[in-house]
This record gives sequence, C-alpha cells and structure tokens, in this order.
Amino acid sequence: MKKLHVDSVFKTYGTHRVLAGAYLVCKPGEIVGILGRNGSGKSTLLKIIFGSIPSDSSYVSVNGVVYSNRFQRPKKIAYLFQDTFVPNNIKVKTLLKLFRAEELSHHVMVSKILDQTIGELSGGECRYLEVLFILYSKAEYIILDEPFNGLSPILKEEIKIEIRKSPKGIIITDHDYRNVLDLTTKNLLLTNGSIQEIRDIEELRTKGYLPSV
Amino acid sequence: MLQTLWLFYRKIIFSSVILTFLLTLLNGGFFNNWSLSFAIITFLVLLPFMQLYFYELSNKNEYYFYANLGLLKTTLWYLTLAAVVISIFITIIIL
Repeated sequence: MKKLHVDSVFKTYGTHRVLAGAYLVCKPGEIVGILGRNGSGKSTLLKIIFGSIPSDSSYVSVNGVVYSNRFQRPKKIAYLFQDTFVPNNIKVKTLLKLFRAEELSHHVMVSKILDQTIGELSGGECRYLEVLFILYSKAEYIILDEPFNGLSPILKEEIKIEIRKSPKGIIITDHDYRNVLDLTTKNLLLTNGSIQEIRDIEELRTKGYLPSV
Repeated sequence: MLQTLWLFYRKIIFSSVILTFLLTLLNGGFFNNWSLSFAIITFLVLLPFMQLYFYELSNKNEYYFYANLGLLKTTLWYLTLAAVVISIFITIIIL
C-alpha cells in the first residue's frame, strides 16, 4: 500500500529525550499537520524522517519499502528546511533543472524570473520559490517545515493553492496554525516526545498548545 | 549528480587554489623553496578547511539544498575527506 510510515522514533540530546516513540502515517493526497510548542521536537522528527540527522532508533518505510539506511531517503522524500537554504548565486532556471521541476518554467511568477539568481529576489519571493521547488520535485512525499515563514498574506494563499493541488503525501508544520488547520486532512500534536491525533481546535486548547480563552 | 557536486565544490576549490598560490609564493619568497609537492599538499589540506568555513560556519543551511538533491552532509564530508586522503597518498607515491 502506498504510504509513508514512520514509527517508534526515539531521539535523545544528552539527557533530554526529545522523541519517545513518535508515530505517523501519510498517504498520497493527504496533508498531515504536525503542531507542537517550541522545542517539542517537530523539526527533529522531520529531519529524522528525511534522513538528514540520525535517530537513536526509528522505523521509516516508503510504499512498503523499509529505509533503515537514512542516506537513501532523500530519493523518495523532499524536505523544506525552516530557513532559506538555496544558494543565492544560482539562477532560477538552473534550480528548476536541479530539482527536476522544469514544468514550473510556465508558472506565472516563475517564468518572469528565470534568469535571476536567488540572491536578487526578496526574502518572501525566495521562500515562495523554495516551497515550489520542493513541491514540484520528483519526491513522492513532501515535508514542509514552516513554509509560511516570512511570507505575505497573498503569497501564503498562493502556497496553500499549490499545496492543495499536489497529489503527493505532505507533512506540514508551522506556527501559523490557522493556515495549517485550513489545509490539513489530519492533525497531530507532538507533546512529550509522542504524537496524538487532534480532532478539533478545542482539543488544542485542552492539550495546552493554544491558550485557553 | 556531477553538476550538484560541482556546485558544492567550486567555491571550495577556487578559494583553495587562490590560498595555495599565495602560500606557495610566500614559501618560495621567504624560504627559497619552490616545491610542487608543497603546493599540492597545501591545496589538499586546505580543501576540508574551506568546506568547514564555507558550509559549517557561513552557509550551514545550504546542506539542506544538497540533501534534497541526494547528497547528505555526511556524504559530502566523506567525499571530501576520502578525496584528500587518496590524493595525498598518490602525491606521496609519485613525488
């Protein structure tokens, strides 16, 4: 069955246990939101799934194939880092080829800046492009760590349209929880190193993620 | 993959070449020692330090760019260190 299956993720920094058996499943077409307080381990979990940092132990399978070797995961999973990460001296058209996202050359905004380098764009434009590169890459599953970071309301809406259009399995986290909740098909809350499913916004209050009114 | 590797290594290589040129000139000028092996070994030793400077200290986030193109940070370090050790070994044998 087609799905990204993550289970039993444990991670400790020194004596501090950040993740204690985190579990999630994401299927193609699903948008899974992960919410959690600062320092709850959201980014650590996402980096472990992507393979960029090792875990103490974890189980990650993509479409039934277990990827115990974390170095193989970036072929199947793309990861949007929470800050700007694309080198600023590369032209947009070169980046489209590198991410194998040539179809974006016909995109209304992208087509106007093909010959510009990332360094010539504003912070918001750069972030918007990074999200597009990751979404349109050939990876089957997409991890978006704070995609709305530094974006104007109009660009946030554009990003939401692009995310909804994608047929891929998407895992998203952002402190802009309203936009996250607006997009997601399933919501998870990461607390004390483990994950629990959230059904409505009221549950986010009772579980201590949102202040009670 | 080759284009990705070139993007990653080009600034490391260019800066190492320039620094090697300057250090070789200094070594030749002060100690009258114009040695090819000095230049090659200097260049190879500089490579990992340039990676340390350009990526670990200055542009750490860029590792996520290369990771999305299939080259994780650990892989890039292994590649650099393996290339340096093998090249130094070959240089010592030849020279």
